[in-house]
Amino acid sequence: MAPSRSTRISLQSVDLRALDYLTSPSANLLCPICHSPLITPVQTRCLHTFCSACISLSLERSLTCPVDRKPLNHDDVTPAPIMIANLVNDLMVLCPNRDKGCTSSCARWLVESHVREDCEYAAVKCAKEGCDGMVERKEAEGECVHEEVECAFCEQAVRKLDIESHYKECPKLDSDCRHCSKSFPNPELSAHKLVCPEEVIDCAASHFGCSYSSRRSELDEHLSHCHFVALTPILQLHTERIETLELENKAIRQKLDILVPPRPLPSQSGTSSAANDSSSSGRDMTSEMQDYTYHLYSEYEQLRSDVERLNAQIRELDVKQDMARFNEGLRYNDEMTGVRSAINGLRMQLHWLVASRRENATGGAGAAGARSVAGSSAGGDGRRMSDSARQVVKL
Amino acid sequence: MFAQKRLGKELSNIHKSLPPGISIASASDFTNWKMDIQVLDTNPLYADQIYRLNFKFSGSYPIEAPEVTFIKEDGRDIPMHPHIYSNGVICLDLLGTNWSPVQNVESVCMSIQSMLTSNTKNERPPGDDTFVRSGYRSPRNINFVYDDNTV
Repeated sequence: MAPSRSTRISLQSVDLRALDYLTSPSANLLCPICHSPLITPVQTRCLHTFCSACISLSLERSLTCPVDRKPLNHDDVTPAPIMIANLVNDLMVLCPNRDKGCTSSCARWLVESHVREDCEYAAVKCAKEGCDGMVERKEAEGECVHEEVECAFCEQAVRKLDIESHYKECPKLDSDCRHCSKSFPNPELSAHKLVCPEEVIDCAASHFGCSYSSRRSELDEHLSHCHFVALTPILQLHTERIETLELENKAIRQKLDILVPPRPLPSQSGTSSAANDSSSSGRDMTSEMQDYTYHLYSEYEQLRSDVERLNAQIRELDVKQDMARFNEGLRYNDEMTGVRSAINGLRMQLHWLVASRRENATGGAGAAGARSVAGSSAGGDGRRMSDSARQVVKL
Repeated sequence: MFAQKRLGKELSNIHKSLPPGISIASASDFTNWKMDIQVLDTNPLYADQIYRLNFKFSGSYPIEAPEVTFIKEDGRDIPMHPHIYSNGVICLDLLGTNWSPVQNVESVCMSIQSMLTSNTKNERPPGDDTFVRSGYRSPRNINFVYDDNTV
């Protein structure tokens, strides 16, 4: 026994916002935001009424009442009086399956149950055991349209549901050409479409800017004097040249990208994979280039580390040498001081010796008259000399 | 969906009646409408001139404001006004921070109409040259300072 109609429930959902109303409702029942009859009406602290969903959206953008711009919080929104909700719920709406053919209308609060339980056009599960297909409720009592049947003409297995559309392409049947309304066997129809004299087609140079179109049989006349068609060879040539230049440009850009990478080796794998993604035509060239550049890079990196190491060594040696030189300088300085003092000592001794010799010489050869004067001065000198000599000795 | 439904309703209302000086130039889809507005009194700045407004709606209209600019088209010019840049961008708080989803195309047209009507200065906003050269086409990316309440 087939299940009764009322137990077959449609899972089709009803979007209340998308409903069409039988009569245009009073402007007082419209939400000021969506301009549709209120759905789940709510009221603000400033006593304005909106759909619950509309005011939440609006408050997400700005915490003010959309009507009077007074500050408004989510907490200031409360359900509207039940009377308002009843007024909008009682409005007559058309069934959402109107496009499929349902002509019924009902109060808005009943529309969900209408679709769920009554509407002849709502989608319900197929009655056949184990079939997952969906059918309109009015057809649910009939046989399952999802099982496959054999086409009467080509003996191919086709779902019952699709048999109508299958007849349009069944190789054993004829169909009418849409343009010349002559009948052709289906396999030949596509070939005919390319030559059908009645089809309206664009001028052959339409992609170069000609906006002319006419039936295929009459197009020849236009082609004979169309300026665009006359220019087509040269335009074609230019397009091709631009295309080759673009390709060449792309290849050059890829080479450039590889040779002048944005960053050195650490990110090399990343950049190369990005370059790999962007190239589709020059992929093999790129990979070859990549291998090569990888070699170059590793070599370059090695050389760089070598140079760095050498630099460090040189710096170290520099420092060592500087220190050595400095130490040596200090040593020389000390020695110099020693030598200088020794020389000074020698000089003193020399002075003393010279002075004493001069004294001896004057004492032996001097006149008797001058002796007292010279003697006194020489005696002073001698004393001074001896003083300084004594000093040197002390040193 | 939400935006389309509401714009559909607005469009049918607009086709029914519009205030004087405002007319619809084109509305072939629900993303871009063009409206013609006219200043009706004898303001010598705008006498006998018709200006064209371009409305661009996002999917979240009317929660989000439409982008409204003046455009040069069919011999329509950009009106002279201290809050309208010569590339058509309008500096009006109603279209930015003070937008409210209760407003509609008609009310925006009327606001702009009255903004023109009350203006007496034959001048562009300060820094018009730099602004236009900087290439801003979309008013949405600009942080206007609505500093002047006199016009």
